[in-house]
Amino acid sequence: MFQYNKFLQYPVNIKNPNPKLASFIISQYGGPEGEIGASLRYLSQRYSMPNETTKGLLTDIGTEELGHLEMVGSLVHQLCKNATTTQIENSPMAQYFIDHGKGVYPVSASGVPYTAAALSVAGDPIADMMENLAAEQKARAVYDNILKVCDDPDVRDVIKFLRAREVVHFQRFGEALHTIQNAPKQKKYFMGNKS
Amino acid sequence: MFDNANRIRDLKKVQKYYFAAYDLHLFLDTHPFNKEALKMYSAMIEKAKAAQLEFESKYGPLTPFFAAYDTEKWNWLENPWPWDSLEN
Repeated sequence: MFQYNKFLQYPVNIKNPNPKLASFIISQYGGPEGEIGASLRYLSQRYSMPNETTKGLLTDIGTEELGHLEMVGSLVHQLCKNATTTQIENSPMAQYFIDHGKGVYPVSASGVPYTAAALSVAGDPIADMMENLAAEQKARAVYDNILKVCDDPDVRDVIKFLRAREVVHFQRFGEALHTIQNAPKQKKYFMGNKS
Repeated sequence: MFDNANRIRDLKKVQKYYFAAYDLHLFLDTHPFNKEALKMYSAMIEKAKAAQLEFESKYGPLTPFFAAYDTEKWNWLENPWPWDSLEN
């Protein structure tokens, strides 16, 4: 079951309203590579996993992703909270505002409400762990895209943290994959490129 | 009420140790016999517990049930909640 800790995993304290940035970042709240999807995917896959490592890791990473969802929601909320209607109207948030006001609704940057069609549970441990490796890379790529269009240092700081977590999760899933394959025993190995 | 800058600083201490512990937790999931990680994990847990107790004594509960709840008044609901900005 789940318990709530009344603090964010990493602090989010935004000084400058920026609805345009919010309209991009919201994709990690309700978009196809976002944190709800990640969490739901891992917490769903764990039921059909064959060993302790995969059951435990999927539970633990799935839980961490819920904490990240909260951070992304906090970012969107704080970026819009003190924005004027004029600022919102003149940003890509304008149409979202009509249906959701300054609320936080799970939708992608292009306005598509969250759908579980973006995730896969094959019930096959190798297929599922491969899916997870791809998912972490896709999320990392989206955070890279956000960094390309973001120059607010408070926001960049949080996005860089979230991006770094995706890289770590990728490494952990790679290690878990080895426990369900017949892989040669190596002392250390890296799933990604050294850079 | 309380000083926002101090609260942010005191919470960062809790967040720092909790995060370090959680990252080690994930590492241990795939490296269950790594002695150094096991040692570091215990150390981070102790630091996190101490930081949490210190924070809760000043500002109220961070977790339910075993939290630093007030027997006079239900203080779990008190602001700020984690998504509230303390900047303004």
